Amino acid sequence: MEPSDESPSDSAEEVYGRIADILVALADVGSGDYSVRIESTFPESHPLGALCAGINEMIASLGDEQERGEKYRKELEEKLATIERQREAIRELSTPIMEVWDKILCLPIVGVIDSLRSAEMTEALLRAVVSSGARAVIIDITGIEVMDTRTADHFVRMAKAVGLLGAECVLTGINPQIAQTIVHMGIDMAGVRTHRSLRDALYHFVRPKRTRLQRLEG
Amino acid sequence: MNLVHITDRSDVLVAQQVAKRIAHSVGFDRSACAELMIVASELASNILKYGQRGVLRAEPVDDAERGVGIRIVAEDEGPPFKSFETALRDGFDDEGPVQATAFVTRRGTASGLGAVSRLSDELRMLPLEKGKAVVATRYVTPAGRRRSIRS
Repeated sequence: MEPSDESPSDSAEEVYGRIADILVALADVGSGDYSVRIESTFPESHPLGALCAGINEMIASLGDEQERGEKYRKELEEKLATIERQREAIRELSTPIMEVWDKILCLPIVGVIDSLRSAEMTEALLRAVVSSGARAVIIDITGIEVMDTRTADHFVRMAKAVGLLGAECVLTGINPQIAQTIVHMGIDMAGVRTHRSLRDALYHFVRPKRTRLQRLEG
Repeated sequence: MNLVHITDRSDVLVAQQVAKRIAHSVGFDRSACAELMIVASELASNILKYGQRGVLRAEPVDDAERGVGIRIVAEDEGPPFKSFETALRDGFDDEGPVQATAFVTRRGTASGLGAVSRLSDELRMLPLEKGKAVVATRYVTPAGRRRSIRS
């Protein structure tokens, strides 16, 4: 039988040739090139042709899968980076100290106060008082529902330490429960001024200035 | 979702939320939930500070005598306390008193475990094969407990 161009012979040479092609293609795939395709001269009805077609299909789907995996990996990396940025934001937000008026610092506290946070707060606040040359500090604890006794004590000490640095420190927004804690603990509040609300405290600091100004104008 | 791996400051906040959710589901009132958030927070901070790697877990409990409550477990790979009793005292770590000047460097006021013991009914430490577990339990119905800040 004379082999035609369309149907190559089953000669051992031809078969070996195709197998060599397959091995080369698989080696390429192994090294990460998913664009290779085996060109088979055998029809798909022939076992070798079918094998080549099957392998081509497998390479194509492997390539797709690889691409998808890469996309997921990128997304995941982006998300992890976002989490890292958010963590940094959380760390920063845990002790926000802002200058709400000229040389008046405000430390609004929300969430849960534990010993670690109160120690960090003290450090950050005392630094801020010195670096900003603040004349007053308002510590607002409206956002705090309960406090451990020891933490409450630490808070009052923090207020006193601010006083030692030459700034006036007021506590605002103390709720009934925390007021009870402070009283039951017998914590010495001497030298620590309190105001009902942040608004009251601000008014206390800002008002005298305005009258002085008015006096000058008048 | 009742387990939090503690590797960062932000995980401490997640631990608080987990404790709050379980406490609320068990039936603790608002301020008890807030107190249990402090417990979770202190235990999670301790993992961060001393325990190297660890997890915090919160789970409901149902005791035949004491009724329902919450158990907050902090497991870490750090060495067990030399003296748990000493570590519980305010201003003490497991080896003895901590100077106030060291508060900044050791990131805390050495009163975390004291707070945990005040705000829970039972507090135990169990040595693990690698590390230790600190287990705090609190029941919805207080039985003679009022060591917390509520009068």
